[in-house]
Amino acid sequence: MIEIKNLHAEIDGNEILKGLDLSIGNGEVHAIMGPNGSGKSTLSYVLSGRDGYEVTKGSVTLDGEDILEMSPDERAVAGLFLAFQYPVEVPGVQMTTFLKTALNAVRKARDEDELDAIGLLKLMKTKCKELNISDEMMKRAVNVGFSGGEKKRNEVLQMAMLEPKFAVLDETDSGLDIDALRIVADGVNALRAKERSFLVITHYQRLLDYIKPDKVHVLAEGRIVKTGGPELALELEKKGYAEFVGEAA
Amino acid sequence: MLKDKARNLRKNQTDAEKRIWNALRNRQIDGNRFHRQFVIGQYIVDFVCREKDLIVEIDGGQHSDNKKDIERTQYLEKEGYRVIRFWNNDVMNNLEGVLQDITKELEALTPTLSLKGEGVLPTPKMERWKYTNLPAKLKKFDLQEGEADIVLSGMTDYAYAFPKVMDSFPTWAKEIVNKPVPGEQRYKDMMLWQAANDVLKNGFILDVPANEKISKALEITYTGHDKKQTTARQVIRIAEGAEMTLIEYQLGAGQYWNNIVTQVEVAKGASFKHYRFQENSDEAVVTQNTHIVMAERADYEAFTFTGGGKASRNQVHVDMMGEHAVCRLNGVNMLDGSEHGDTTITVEHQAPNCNSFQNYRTVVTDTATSVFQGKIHVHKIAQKTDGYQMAKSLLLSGQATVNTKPELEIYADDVKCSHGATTGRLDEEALFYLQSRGIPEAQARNLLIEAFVNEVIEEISHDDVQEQTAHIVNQWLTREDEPANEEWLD
Repeated sequence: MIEIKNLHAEIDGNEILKGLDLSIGNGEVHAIMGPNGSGKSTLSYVLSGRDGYEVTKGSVTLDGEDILEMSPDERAVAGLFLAFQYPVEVPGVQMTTFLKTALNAVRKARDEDELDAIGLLKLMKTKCKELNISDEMMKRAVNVGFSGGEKKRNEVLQMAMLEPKFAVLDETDSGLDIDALRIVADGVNALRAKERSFLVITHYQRLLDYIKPDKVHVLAEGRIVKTGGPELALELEKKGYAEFVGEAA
Repeated sequence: MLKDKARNLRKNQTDAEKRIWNALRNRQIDGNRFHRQFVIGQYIVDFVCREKDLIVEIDGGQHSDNKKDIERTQYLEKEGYRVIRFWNNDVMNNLEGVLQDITKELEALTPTLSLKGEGVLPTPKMERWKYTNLPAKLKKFDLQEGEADIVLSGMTDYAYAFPKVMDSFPTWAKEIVNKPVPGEQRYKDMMLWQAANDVLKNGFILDVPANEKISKALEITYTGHDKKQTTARQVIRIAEGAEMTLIEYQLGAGQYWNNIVTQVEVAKGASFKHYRFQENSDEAVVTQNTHIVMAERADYEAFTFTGGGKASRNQVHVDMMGEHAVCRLNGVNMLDGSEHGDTTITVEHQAPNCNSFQNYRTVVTDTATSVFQGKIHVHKIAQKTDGYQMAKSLLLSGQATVNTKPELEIYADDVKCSHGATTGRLDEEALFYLQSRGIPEAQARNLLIEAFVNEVIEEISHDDVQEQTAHIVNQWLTREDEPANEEWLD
């Protein structure tokens, strides 16, 4: 499904990703763990096509399609979704307008019928209920005045509505208490499906108690330095990242 | 021959003439240029200010009241000059008094709407016109004076066309029109208002009687026509306890200049909603002066959309004279090409317990220029004033310009006043966020621009007008003459 080969990327001339290889199959959940500064967030932004991140070498394909040549919106249409570590506040753009515009843009690009207001409202209501998102939240501007937990639930809501093939969760656990974490994790778990893959980026093992990964990778200094099963996360929790930082350097 | 004689006279000035010339020369009186011993027809006049057509004569006493002098004055007045005379004695003993008289005369000589000549138009040398060079904007204009094309529709019951002769004005309207020009004493830049007084071509009067609460709006459409220069005057009175809504539409084609003066009196407990949509031709110049006088508990809500015009100047002056009055001045400017939009506001809090709000959003692209100058002046008596002003601008191109000048002048000690101004580009992070959800870049930009202007549009209390504004904004965003240069992010 997603193939990352020898990916090199830099910001302002500083190389952050230095030959990253990763392959995630259909329906799989992979976790990437790593110390601060290892390139975790850079990977998520490179995948989603943010300006300022320059790919100098390597390739990324989603179902065989080269996504590096695509604009961020084209990547979304192709089935990529990034749950932001820090969801952006968009003052003045109402949640409903935002969801409708996004969903219909994607549906249109995928040659699907656009949803009318009623259809959208119905869909929204169902998904909101599942994620414990209040109607009141939907009346506000995107992420404006949302608590940390609300912002993360909102990310999952958008994911649920856009139904991506491949979702990247960038430190979704940061800033969440246990209850909020559980709601978010439940939301993600509900979306797990045979045709949908996940890449869960996290600093702590804690999230992986709730979202069980098939594989765990250690990212250090811009490369995957170790791959294992869920037990690797527990091991990292105990030992920390010190050995990998040394090794890669 | 006459010229030689004039030259001789210049050489052999009397003492009094020398004395006054020293005070008149080099534009010492408010920038007015004088000539001495100047030939007009068959006469040589002592001093003349040609821009104001003012002649100053100094009499020695020997030729007062003779028949020739009367003929001479008659001739000069027929030629359009105003002639004033002083005695040698006056000049020698009371030069100050003489100069005061001359200054007053010069002020009283209201310019016509001629495009030519100095002192007729405000210039960037004047404090409030620093950012708007009106003479330059009008430079290549070739216009003919005419009547403004005004069509009234909707609720027209209390509106009627302007009588062209002021004598036939109703007394109240005459009183309003004859009031001192607001800001003139302080700024000395109100020549456009004075020109409108002088020209008095057409316009309309709106007179809503006491306690008449009207929900249906009066609509006025101004259509500009190529090569036309028009002056219009609007005199509005909303009597005690009455409620009224006015929507003005301005549109047109070609090169024209509309100069509009609007005077509004909102009486005790009355409410007036005043909306303006300026979608003038890209070649047109529109200058507007709006003066609002508010009594106790009066409510005035204004929203202005400016989306066109080679140059537009919206000058608003509010006098809050009664307690507990509330005034909202809001607007959205969306300027592209080489358009120039200027909003200049003065709110005078002259009574306690009044609230004033100014909220403007400006979007500029291409090489367009916007100007916002907003002033809140709280007089000593105006305790418990709540004054607010916010002007935010969005730059969509590297060549566009935004000039913002907020001003607070507060003489009362128990007031709440705040102002803020921001100028920025589209939020790149928000743009990326929207795009990452599948929204194409152009659409994402428009969503953000709409959100930016909506902060003000949603304050419009009239639902239809709010909807209409949203529609106009949308039309602007999806216009076909999309700027050639790439929109611009840092």
